[in-house]
Amino acid sequence: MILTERATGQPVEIGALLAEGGEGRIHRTDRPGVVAKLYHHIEAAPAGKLAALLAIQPVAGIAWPLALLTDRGRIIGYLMNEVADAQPLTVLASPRLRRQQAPGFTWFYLHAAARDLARIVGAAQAAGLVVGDLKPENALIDARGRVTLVDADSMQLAGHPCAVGAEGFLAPELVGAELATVERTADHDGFALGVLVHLLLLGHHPFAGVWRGPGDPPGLDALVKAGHLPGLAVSPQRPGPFAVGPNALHPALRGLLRRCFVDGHRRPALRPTAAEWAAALTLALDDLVLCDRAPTHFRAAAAGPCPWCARGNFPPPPDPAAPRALVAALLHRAIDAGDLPRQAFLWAHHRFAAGFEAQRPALDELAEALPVAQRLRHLTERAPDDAEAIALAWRKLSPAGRALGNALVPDLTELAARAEARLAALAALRRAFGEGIATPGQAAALRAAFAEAEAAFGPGSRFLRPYARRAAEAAALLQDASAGDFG
Amino acid sequence: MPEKRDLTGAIDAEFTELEAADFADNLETRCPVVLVLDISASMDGPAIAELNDGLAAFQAEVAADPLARLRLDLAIVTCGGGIGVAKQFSPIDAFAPPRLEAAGDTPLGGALLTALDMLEARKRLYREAGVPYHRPWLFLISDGAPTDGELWREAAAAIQDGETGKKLAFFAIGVGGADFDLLAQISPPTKPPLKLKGVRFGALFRWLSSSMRRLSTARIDPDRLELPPVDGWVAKP
Repeated sequence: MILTERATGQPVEIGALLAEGGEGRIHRTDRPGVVAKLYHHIEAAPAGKLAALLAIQPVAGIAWPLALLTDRGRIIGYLMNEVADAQPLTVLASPRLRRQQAPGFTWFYLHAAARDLARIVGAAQAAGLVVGDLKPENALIDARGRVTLVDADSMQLAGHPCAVGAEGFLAPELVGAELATVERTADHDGFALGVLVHLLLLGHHPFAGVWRGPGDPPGLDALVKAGHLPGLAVSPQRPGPFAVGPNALHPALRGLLRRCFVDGHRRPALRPTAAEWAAALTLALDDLVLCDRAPTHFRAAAAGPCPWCARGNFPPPPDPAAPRALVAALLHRAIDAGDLPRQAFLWAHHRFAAGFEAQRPALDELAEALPVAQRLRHLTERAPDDAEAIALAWRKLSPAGRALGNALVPDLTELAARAEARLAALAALRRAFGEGIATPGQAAALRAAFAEAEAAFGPGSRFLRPYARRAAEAAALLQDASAGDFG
Repeated sequence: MPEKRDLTGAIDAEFTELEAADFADNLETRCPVVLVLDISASMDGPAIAELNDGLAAFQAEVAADPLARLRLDLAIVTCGGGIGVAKQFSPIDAFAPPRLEAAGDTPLGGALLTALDMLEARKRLYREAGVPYHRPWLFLISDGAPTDGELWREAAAAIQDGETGKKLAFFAIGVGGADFDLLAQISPPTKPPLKLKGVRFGALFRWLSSSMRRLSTARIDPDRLELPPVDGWVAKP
């Protein structure tokens, strides 16, 4: 079959059938790397929407229409770049199909794919689109976890609705709605994105569970609409015996899942944005470490023990050394970039026997200092006035440890110096008050020590509270004395 | 999200190793389908050969789609010289299509009741495993009249109940000298039995595989599913 590229009038020869969907087919063409989507029915071709898509800047990560195809003058499809060597999310999120078709695709790549997906959804929204039909079959993923969204012609853009949606991926407020007339929003995409992240990382739909209510279990859409999330205390569903729960995930992701499916269930605006998902997935990606027992399993260091050792979800990849090689490459990158916290974290979890001989002493020192540096970060964030704890932790750090601390906490050196000054003022205060208040002469010294400590800690500090009453008494004594002088 | 998972509360089912293998690595929504195939002696000859070829093509066609492989859960019950289970429920890609041989009488009622029992048991397993499922589909392909007395009446009542309650989708397909009056009594009034053109099992199974593919990959409520046209294999009345 020969069709015509509308803009140029060039002929396009349609080749072998690659895939077939509900509304159209994907064919090879005589142009290398370019495929054609042809609609089953010429009336189904959304000519207006396709023209609108062609008129705006393509969004990276979406298989964008390149040109319209016509058959005897009528639009019947469009050309787009072929997404080579990629598999649908359906395959990669399923432990069974992944084992058969992508056995090297570890949890690391699943996190990377989830992050890329969030980035693309965010970019689409920034361009004024709503993806709308966000479902596993529309996300193609390559071996490195890079995502391409297909079916651009189903997306919503101004004046051109998205009339489709998939069971289990529609936000609660869309279930049962007439999709062709509903204006889709970023919050709707937010719900589907949350489901896809859950599906990718845990291998099952978040609303699938063991039904404990009366009668037959409702379908996924009804469960979503009712908010029957397994694991909630009030839910008629319990987590299934084969399901890996969200506790396997990085805490930042657990928090977003809760916002997406619990807080945001009835209040769509509370659902995490695509940018929030991308940021949390970056945190989670940086927190992945290899399991000690099976060094091909990635697990979240900030979560519990390896969730995969007891299951077949991640059998050893074809190259069992690949996951370790990946971590070694990440460590090399951190060393080259001078990223001390990353070096310390990776080395603390993976002491490579070979490949880092020259850097080993420095890495050992960093890894050893990491817990103290992390404690300092915690203290400076949560208890910045706890001078004693900060100063004592700082004194424990070697010069390399202090450099690490400064990479984790901006201006840590100054903060530590201030803590030391506060500690000295506090020590002076303790000494001064140890004598008690006897004479107006001592009262002046007390008053001075308290004023100095107040200058260091700021007025009303909890560390000065034990001395405040007596400092006030000393001040009163001084006032009496001066009143006596002049009275 | 749960902070604590009460696993002891969730597992009150015992799974056989085979069942566990079926669910442990696949928690996708399931679409259970049972084919009840009449392979009584009258099917001998080109009919049974066509049916076997159709079955093999069906398996290959459906297994080509990743989502169908995860979702479609197929069982085959035969009636012909007794009731046989040619295939227990299991994933479509793990299934080597059997070569069925035609022989014996037609215990149609018993075969339908067996199929309905298998569906109930399967649904119970889905529920215990925490796997969502769609309404089961039951296809009856028959070329004769039941030889097991009035058992078919019991099956018919259960089928009609299931259809009314939207708990089952039933299709009866009659071949050659099938007892169409009786098939009509088994079928829900809204879905009278269809008559196969000659022995076009190939076309029937092609329709079946594209229907089953659509059913298991559309990600829509099965009630809203549009099935492909049947004109390739249905004889005009």
